[in-house]
Amino acid sequence: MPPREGTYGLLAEFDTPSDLVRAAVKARQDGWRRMDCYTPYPVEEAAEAIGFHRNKVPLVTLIGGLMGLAAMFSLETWISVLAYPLNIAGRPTYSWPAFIIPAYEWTILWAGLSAAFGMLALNGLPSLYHPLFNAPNFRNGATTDKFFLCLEALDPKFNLVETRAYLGTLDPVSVVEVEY
Amino acid sequence: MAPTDLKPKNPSSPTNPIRGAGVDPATGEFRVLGLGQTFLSVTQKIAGIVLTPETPLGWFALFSVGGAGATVLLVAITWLFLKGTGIWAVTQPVAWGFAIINFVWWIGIGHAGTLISAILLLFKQGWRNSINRFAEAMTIFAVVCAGMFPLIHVGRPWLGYWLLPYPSTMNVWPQFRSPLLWDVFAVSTYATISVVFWYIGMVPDFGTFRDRAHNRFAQYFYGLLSLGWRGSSRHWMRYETASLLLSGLATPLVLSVHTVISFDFAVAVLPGWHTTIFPPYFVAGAIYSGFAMVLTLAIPLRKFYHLEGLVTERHIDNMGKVMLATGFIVAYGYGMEAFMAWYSASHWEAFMFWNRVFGPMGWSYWVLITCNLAIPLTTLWSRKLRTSIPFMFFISIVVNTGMWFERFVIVVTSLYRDFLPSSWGTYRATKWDYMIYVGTLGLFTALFLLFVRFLPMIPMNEIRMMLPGAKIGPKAPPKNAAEVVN
Amino acid sequence: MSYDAPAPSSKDALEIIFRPDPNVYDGRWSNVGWLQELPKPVTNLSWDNAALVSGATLTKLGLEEDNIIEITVAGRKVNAPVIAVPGHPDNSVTVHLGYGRQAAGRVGSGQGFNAYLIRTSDAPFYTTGTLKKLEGTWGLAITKSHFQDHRSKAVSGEGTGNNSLEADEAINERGIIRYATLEQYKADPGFANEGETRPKTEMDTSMFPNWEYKDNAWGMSIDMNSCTGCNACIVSCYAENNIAVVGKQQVRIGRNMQWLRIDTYFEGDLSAPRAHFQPMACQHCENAPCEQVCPVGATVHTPEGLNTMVYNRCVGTRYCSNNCPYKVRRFNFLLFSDYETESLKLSRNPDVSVRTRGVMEKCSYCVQRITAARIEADKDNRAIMDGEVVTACQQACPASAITFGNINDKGSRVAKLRSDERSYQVLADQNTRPRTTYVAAVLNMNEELEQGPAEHPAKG
Repeated sequence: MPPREGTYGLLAEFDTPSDLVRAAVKARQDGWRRMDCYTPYPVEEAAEAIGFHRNKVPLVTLIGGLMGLAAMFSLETWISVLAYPLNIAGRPTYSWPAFIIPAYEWTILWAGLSAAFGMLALNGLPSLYHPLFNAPNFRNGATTDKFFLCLEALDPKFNLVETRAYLGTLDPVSVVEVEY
Repeated sequence: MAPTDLKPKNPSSPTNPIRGAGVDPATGEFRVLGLGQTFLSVTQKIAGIVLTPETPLGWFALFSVGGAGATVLLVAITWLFLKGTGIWAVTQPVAWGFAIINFVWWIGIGHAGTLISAILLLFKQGWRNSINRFAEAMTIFAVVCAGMFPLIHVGRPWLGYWLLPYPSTMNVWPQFRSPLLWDVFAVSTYATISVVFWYIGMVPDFGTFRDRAHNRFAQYFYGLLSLGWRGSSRHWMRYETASLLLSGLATPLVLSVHTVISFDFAVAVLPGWHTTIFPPYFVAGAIYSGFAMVLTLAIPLRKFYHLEGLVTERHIDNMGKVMLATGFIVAYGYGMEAFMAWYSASHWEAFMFWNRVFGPMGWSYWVLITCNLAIPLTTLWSRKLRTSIPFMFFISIVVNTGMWFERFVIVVTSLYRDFLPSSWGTYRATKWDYMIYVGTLGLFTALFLLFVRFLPMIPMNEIRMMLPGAKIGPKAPPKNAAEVVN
Repeated sequence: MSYDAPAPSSKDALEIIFRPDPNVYDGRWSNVGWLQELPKPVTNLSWDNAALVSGATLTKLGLEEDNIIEITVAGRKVNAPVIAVPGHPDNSVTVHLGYGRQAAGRVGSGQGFNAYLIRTSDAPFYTTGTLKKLEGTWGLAITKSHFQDHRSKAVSGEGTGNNSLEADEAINERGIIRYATLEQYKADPGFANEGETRPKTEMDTSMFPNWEYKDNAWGMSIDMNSCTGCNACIVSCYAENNIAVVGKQQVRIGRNMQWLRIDTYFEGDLSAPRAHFQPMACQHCENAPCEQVCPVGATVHTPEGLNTMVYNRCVGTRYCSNNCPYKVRRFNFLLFSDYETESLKLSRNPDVSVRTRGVMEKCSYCVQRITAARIEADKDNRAIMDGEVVTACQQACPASAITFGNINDKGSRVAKLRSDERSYQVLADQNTRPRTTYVAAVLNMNEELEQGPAEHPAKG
């Protein structure tokens, strides 16, 4: 696939999270949809402001956990009752009280791995390249002490000149064009 | 005190300490974080420890000590594999010895890290943010040290894989009623989830390192580890959900792992082992010893790397309180054993208890009571002592010693005199037993120092959330050059 | 010839008695590893001989067990270790002959001390001599612990302070040794299974259904009346099952590999105790605690009721040994089996595996003999008859104390012995349901000879 060309979006930089949240709320009110905030720590208000409400991580986790439970319990049962049943200490071959424990552990294991890797997958990570890393000020601040709002070119309202002016009204430290 | 008085000369320099956090006049408590810190200063402080070509001489000195210990471990394990478990003191009737004691001790230590990361997160205890990363690292390395014992202590370690349920050509499978097999699943789950939780927690901080590193290799290294993290709010939301879910999963996990370890004993028929108090008693004991080990690590770390503003007396105080509480649960466990020895009217229990306290190995019981109960539970009441750094370091060593002896008492004194008096014996540790134990201490030290040098030992992103600048409020006054917001 | 006891030459003089050793006799069998490792009756001493004295004499001379003493008889001296033996007369020292050889071969050289050095032809059986304490300890290998019961009467209910702790526990509290005098038996024939300290297995109180054994169900009965503690069964087990000799240092640590042992308990005051001998081997419990805890399933229950040890599956976690309440499992902590010596390869039983390092082993009810009998019976298309399977220990016992057979066969000797009211199971309250039962001893004492401890009342 040929590399994309042109503008990815416009990036506004802010010094405080309050400024970012104010700007994001206003942008959403004004009809912007393709946008994202970038912060060095989670700012829930910013996510809400851009309209992100629910995520699928809990569902992925639940499914993973149930799969783990079913997998281990049925494995234990199959091994002890069908595959090679043995008289162990006179106990019944279907020793479900004992089987609960590894099944419990695998519930947690599969749920936890699903949560972690599900989260990464839903986030699209790893994504070692992203156009935003081309912006000179992004790297210096996004993971340290600056807050960014990016209005993306894919949004129908996007226009390079007008959007730059619009962002200027939100009182940022700087506005930078991000190229692919 | 006006804010400008607190403005340090160069807050971000690794060598300039922020001397403690001081007491907040409003609440009378020590502050959780030192005053005058900003997003940038915190980042510079922590990143400055890692992203520098200079390594302190003390680090090299301690690392060589740890490395020497790890070498001793390697030698001892090699000799063990060549000769057999007979080089240890294990015998009839005490067929388990230092190996199992050390296994339980290390795993127990690991549990505090998970408790700090997971349970304190669920309880919304913000103070845990400073310590949870290196506490979780402590967990990982403790599990590494613990996990080698079940493998090496068996008579034929090269067949250890038979404990895994794989389709074998002989059509045989493991036996699921055995607590040792439950251990395999519990400990492997614990190790995996701990590593995943720890790593996921570090991804945003790896992003910070990637962005701040100057060395090309460091940029690539942290760049790969950061998975391309950019701090998108959508990502952060899913990340927070995943963290909460992992915490919510890690909580029953940590309770279950030490419960399963306690089942190694509780499921056996031996008096002194076969008791229902073990699951809670073991879990409480694990947290007790684990917090002690966190203190043993935190106190030198904060002093050496000048982190007194991030790991403050408040943290030490809180950890002392947790130790006091879990110490009392452990004391309850001991008390119940004594009570049940009489109340159960079971001769087996009565003899076991009498023998534990007054028999030939009774000295170990008294060491246990002194180190676990007598010293900590009388002194940790005092806030003055709980916030005295030297005293807390001393207590952490005492409690860890006591908890090692608790496992010694449980394993050895129940085994050496059990049902048939004709099989009564004794246990005398050999030099190989000691070498392996000391070796794991060395390995732990070496691994922990590598972590301190190359990985973010305090979660910068979580600390940022707690700074005053993170509050969302009304429009700030017109921008000026000052970065300090109060 | 006069058999008067010789007059003591001085007030410190002790009687010295020369006895042939119960294991190596006069020394001719010093080079037999089995006999060196075999714990001697009563003293449970292996790989050495010792100077045996009474506890009172030991204290009087200011000695402790394992001290080295110098025995002087008419100017001749020898160094020896000293131990106290329950029931030994005071002021008397027994030494066993046959040790202290220097050119006895690979196994026999350098063990013990040479009592011949103080034995002369004019006093070959007993004489007088003196003892002197020397520096150091000998390092004896004794396979049983022996402690005195120093608990207060309130705790132990007994205790002159000179009782054996092991015996007080085994007999008074734990029901391991159960016996009665003839009068007690007549008054109460069911004594062996009555009372809190003599529990009986309750077959119907399990949380899960009992496993059914429809065909052959192997069981063993050991008669406590007949066992004299002679150790022949142990040696036969060595021969039959290729058991390794581990050497003195390993026995000192507690690692001898005997699948069958004779447990000795000295009841009452140790100066004049009543001794009880109990052969103890794997009980083949139906609810075996060892089977449940093996993570790889290396020990399982056969359809005929044997608790089998699958050597090649064992990874050596040793949980089974910890969980065995009878402590009859033996672990190969090092490579104890001798793989090198050519002559030993000829002596081994080809029907039994030779175990390597890291593997657990234990009595198998001579499963190889059961299988051999089954093969013969299958060839003739019939069932195995009572008496056709004879375990090695049963075969060697001179007193026929051990009986083995099919307990489902109502006509078999073992079934009849099992149903005898004197039969009991050791540790029955643990619900292990052992297949080995013991027939409790009934002692018919001659009143004129019985001057020992007061009659032990059957606890009810």
